[in-house]
Amino acid sequence: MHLLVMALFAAVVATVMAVIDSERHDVRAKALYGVKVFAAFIFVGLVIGWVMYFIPL
Amino acid sequence: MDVQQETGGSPHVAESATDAGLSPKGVVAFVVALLFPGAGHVLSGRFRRGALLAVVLVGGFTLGILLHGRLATIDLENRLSFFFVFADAGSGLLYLGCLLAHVGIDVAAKNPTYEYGTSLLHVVGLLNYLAALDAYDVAVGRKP
Repeated sequence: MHLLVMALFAAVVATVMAVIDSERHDVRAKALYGVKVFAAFIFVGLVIGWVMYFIPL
Repeated sequence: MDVQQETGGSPHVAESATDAGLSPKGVVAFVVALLFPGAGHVLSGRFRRGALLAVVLVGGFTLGILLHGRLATIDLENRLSFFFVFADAGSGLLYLGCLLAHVGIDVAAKNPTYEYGTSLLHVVGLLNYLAALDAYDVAVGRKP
């Protein structure tokens, strides 16, 4: 559930960031940028989740 | 000789720098985009881009409500609430409609997805501010 919601959140942000990106103008470059942003969100989310596992809170 | 030619700057940049005033066409696109996600782009003729923004941002807002997210309202005793109201208000008519319909207001924080939903509602509003600024740029011809 948490991973699914995180993925949906990442998809929303990545899509909007790709659409409004001002440096890439063709659809393919924008789509690739969106995929990279999405992957970065998921990767960083997993890394933070893994690090927090060891923090006793 | 023109200063911009001497320094080797591009004519496009020089033109943008001298054009400091707000364009009425751009302001209309900005306001319309703020009222409804994607509408500013549609107004400028970018139908596909506007439709994609509308689907993603309205979908994100709906998902936030379905995840039991809470829309911020002004709380005079908690000044931080102004920031959250600013973030949520970026969703425009969606935020206003939910306030009037009393949807997403009285939400219990004990729900497991409360934080996800609330964060999503804030982020969708903030992203729509960015989309509205993009709509301004598209309307005035700064972006294709």
